[in-house]
Amino acid sequence: MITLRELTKRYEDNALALDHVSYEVKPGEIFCLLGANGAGKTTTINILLDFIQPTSGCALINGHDCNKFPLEAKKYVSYVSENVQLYGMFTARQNLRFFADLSGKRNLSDTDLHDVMRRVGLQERAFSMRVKNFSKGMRQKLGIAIALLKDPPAILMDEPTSGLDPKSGLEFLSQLGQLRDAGKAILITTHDIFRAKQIADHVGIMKQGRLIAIRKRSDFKQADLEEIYMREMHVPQARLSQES
Amino acid sequence: MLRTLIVKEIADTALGLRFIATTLLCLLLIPLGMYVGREDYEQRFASYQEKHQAYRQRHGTPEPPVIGQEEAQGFRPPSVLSIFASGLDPFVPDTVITSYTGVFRTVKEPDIDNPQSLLFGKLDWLSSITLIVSLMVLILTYDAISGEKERGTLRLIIANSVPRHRILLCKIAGKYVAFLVPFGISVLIALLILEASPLISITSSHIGPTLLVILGVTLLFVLSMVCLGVCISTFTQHSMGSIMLLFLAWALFVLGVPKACPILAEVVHPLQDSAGIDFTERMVREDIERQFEQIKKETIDPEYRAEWDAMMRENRNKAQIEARLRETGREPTEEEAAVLNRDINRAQAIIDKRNEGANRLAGECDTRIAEALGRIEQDYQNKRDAQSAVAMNLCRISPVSCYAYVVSGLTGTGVTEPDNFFRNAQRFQNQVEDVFYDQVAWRLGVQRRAEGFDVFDPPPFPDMEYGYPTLAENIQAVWPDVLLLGLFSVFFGTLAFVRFSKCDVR
Amino acid sequence: MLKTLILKEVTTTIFDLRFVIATLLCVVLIPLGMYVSRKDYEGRLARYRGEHAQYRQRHGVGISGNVLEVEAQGFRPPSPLSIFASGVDSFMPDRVLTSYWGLYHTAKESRTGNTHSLLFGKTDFVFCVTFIVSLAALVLSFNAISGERETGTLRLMIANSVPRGHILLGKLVGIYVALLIPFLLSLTIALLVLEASPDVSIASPEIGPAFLVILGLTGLFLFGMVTLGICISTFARTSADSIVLSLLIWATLALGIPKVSPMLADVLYPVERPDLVNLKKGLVAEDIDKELVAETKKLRDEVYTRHNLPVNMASSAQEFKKADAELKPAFQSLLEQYRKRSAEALQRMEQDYRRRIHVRSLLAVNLSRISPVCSYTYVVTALSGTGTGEPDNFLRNAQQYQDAVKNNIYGKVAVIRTGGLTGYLYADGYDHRSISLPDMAYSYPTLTSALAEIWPDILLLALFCALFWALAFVRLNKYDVR
Repeated sequence: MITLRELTKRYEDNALALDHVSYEVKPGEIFCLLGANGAGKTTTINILLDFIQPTSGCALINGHDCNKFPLEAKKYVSYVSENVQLYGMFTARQNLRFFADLSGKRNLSDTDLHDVMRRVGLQERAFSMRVKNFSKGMRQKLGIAIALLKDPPAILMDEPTSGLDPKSGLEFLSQLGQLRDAGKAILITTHDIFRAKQIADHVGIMKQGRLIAIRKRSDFKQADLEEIYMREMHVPQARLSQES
Repeated sequence: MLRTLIVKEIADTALGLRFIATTLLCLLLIPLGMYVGREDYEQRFASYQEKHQAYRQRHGTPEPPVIGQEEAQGFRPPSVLSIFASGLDPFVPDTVITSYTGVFRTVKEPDIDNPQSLLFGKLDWLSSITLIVSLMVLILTYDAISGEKERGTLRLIIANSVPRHRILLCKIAGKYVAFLVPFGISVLIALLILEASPLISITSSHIGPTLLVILGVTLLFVLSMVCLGVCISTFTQHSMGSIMLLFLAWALFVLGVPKACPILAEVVHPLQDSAGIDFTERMVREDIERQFEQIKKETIDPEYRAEWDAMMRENRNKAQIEARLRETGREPTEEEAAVLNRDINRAQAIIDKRNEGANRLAGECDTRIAEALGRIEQDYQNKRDAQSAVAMNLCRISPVSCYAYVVSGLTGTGVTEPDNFFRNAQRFQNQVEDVFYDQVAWRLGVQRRAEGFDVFDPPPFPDMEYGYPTLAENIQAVWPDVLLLGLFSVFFGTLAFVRFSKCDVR
Repeated sequence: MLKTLILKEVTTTIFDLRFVIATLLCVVLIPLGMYVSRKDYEGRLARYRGEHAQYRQRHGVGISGNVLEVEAQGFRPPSPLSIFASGVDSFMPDRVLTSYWGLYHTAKESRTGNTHSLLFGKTDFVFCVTFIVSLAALVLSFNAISGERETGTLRLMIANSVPRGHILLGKLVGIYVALLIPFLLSLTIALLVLEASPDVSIASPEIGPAFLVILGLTGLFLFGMVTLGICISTFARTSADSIVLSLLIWATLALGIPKVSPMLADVLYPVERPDLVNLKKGLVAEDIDKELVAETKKLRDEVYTRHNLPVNMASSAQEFKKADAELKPAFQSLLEQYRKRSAEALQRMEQDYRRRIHVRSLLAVNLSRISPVCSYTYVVTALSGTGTGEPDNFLRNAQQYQDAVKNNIYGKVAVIRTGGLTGYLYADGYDHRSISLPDMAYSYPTLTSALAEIWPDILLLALFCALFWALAFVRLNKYDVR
């Protein structure tokens, strides 16, 4: 569903953000992208959403090239961004309705909107509250609700749990599980190794633009993912072929 | 999707603090300005009527006996549309005084009794729009794109398959419609205030069409400002940067360019000071008159004196002969009889001859003066036109100047009004010349009178009919600026689109 | 610690894009405006000298023609300080024409100059300060507090036990100093441009001291603007709110209040237009004059009939001379009587009108004093001789001139009109060949008298600074720094 093939991005100042990255996220799978700041995780998502153009290689969503036919590709994906302030003067419901309309889901009743907001764990009283009074966690949940409402086959999430307390985090994970079971392909970038371990089917570790390791669930269920992560992060590039 | 985006834009704009402030300012300032303008117009009109009436009653007909040097007065009526743009109105003279010399003079009654108003300027429609509305629109739109980027919602919108040009278009349309609501209401109130005046009817044929055109051009101007604001917001990453750009753009377009460009035009095409021109003209005229005086002294006067003396000598001769005849009682000789019988009373003929000569000279003198002055005026006019053209074209960099030119042109208070005034004044002078000065004149010490003209029962002076250019003529004059306003909208919009297509939305 | 704060403030402001833009605008517009004002002044001075010389040439010595029609012309010289503030100058009449009947009138040369400049307005020093530099002051200071809050540095400062008052003072002084850099730079260039003129010398006694005072007051005004900006930033939590508030307040202070207050005063206390009043005065004068002519004729007819002389004739024969001798004192007393009546009536109308004008003017001025921009404008224009007091000054000078001409010329000749004939009674010693028309000695108010007039506005400017500071201080103490 979400496919990257030899994706490379070099910026004008010669910084190499992505270095021939390839992997695939199949439907019904959660792929967690781990890595330090500046490793290239967000760049990947940016290319998938056609915010920037790759230098070489391609990114596909449901078979459509994200950069050659972005409008087509974006029909099949929804996006949960990090740190979104949304429209402060609108209520949660109004924000939701707006983005639902944009994604093609018009004619949704208020009940439908309320259902989704409940699903992500927003309290009832927040539905009619102006977003500028929301806490970070509430805004995060609303962001997720926006993505859920579109109900696309692929979902991209950029640091989705960065503002959530443990309880909300758990709720979020269970929702992710439900989405996966519903057959969605989900790509998540995160720092949160703990949560990644709990939910991911595949974990990709990125370092300086390269995907230096991919581990299946079975691999890290027994071993401590954190240990693997730290070890991989210190492994020099040359040893990649040996490991994978 | 278009509708969704536009509705969101309108709602988002309307729910902000800026929108409330904009609404308040518009609702307050536009009707107030119109009200004061209306009051001022009513007063000006009343005083124009009184002046005119008083003049007609007391000096409308020249007082007999007429000597041909009397002056007629013409008054410039205030234009209703000047309520919208006072423009050059305070600087255009309001009275024409004709003169037998052919050179009329103009009088501007100084109005210095409200110095605060003079110090700070009026808040007429033109000032409200160019100063307040432009700032308000820019404040509403400067963070159209950069604000969404900061909030992160731009990413969300683009992540849905919404093409970028559509986003931009909807922003412009949404902001435009949102602003038009308070603006439209204030304009409506202002127009109602205008209609409430007994002297003004906005549906009348000389106000209505022009008013529609002004409103249309104003909408175009507001659109160009919205496009400018959105364009500004595509050039920066953060709202702060947009604000700086807004400050710069507003200062340049509204204050900088309109004031600096006429200065540059003056540097490029300096003009001789207008008082210097008057001085030169006076000197030239006096010169020519002196010349002709000299000619008269040298040719006609001596001739006249010679003939007169000859006649007097003959008269004395005749008297002597008659005396001799009386003394001696004899009959006149043949020679003496010839002298006695000759008609020597040709005083009238001699006088007529001199007058004819003087008149001829006077005519030549007049023509020469007219030629010389005409040349000076034409030269000055050409230079002034050149300078004006440069000033106008330089100013047109700014949509604010274009708008000012259009509105002031349509209201008869623009940069061409002084010329219009002088045309009217010249026409009036010619009229009075036809009716009066050509019929009776005093030139070089001699009065000439036309047939049938009675100096004890002169006809009344004609009235000056002041004509403003028609709407069609005005539109012909201002269409380049209207076109430019449209082009500005397109230019800013295109620039915004180009920037936005390549801009980084992360 | 204060020094550190101030230094930090100056450096952060200078290295900001806003500073560059502000500097650019100042350096371009202020010298340009000064250049234009200078050229304009030179033109007006040349015109004044030219007209004056020409007038003297034509009417040098001796008065020709009918004294009734003699109009002495007094010319108003341009004030050199008007280069800084054009004020009401472009609307002022440039000459006074006296009249035998006591009703002088004023005239203004009516050929319009650069029409585009007239349409868009002048860029004199006052304009540049109130529009460009004050806007720059607000732009530099509007997020003084709110910006620091957003970047989190305000927390850090306060966590370092820096008293809030010090933070405020540091900001104030720092930003003010940073603002003065482009301002003084462009001013220096402008003064060089000015000094290059042959007609103007800044060091001269008529410009120098006044200019220093203007400079000082400008500094005070700009200080107030910076304080206002900082004050506004304490009212907002984000930069975005701050800038919007700043721009709105600026628009109100610089555009709204100055233009609206005279309008409001006119609405609240309307006064008739001056040309209407002049018209009425003219009509009244004409009517009284007609009466005088009728009375004169009556008197003459009566005396002539008593002497058995034909009423429609004048002659220098013996009988006529006797009658004329009897009439002379009667005529003079009649003339005096009517002159007094005319003067009184006109005086009354004038005073009434002036009183109403003053009430309205006072209303307008006091309404407008809400805005420091207005106070500043009043101050500088008053010092330049182009302020709201200049029309009164002009009328005073005009009246003085009229009186001077009356004393020297009009008063020495009594004109007796009886409808068909006009006779003249000359005072002793009056020789129309040797007397010459006096010049108008136009005087502008001195520096001290101008200062005495404007001290309320100077006080207001200082009070504004204090007010904005106090407000900012109070707000900052309660400000949420998180």
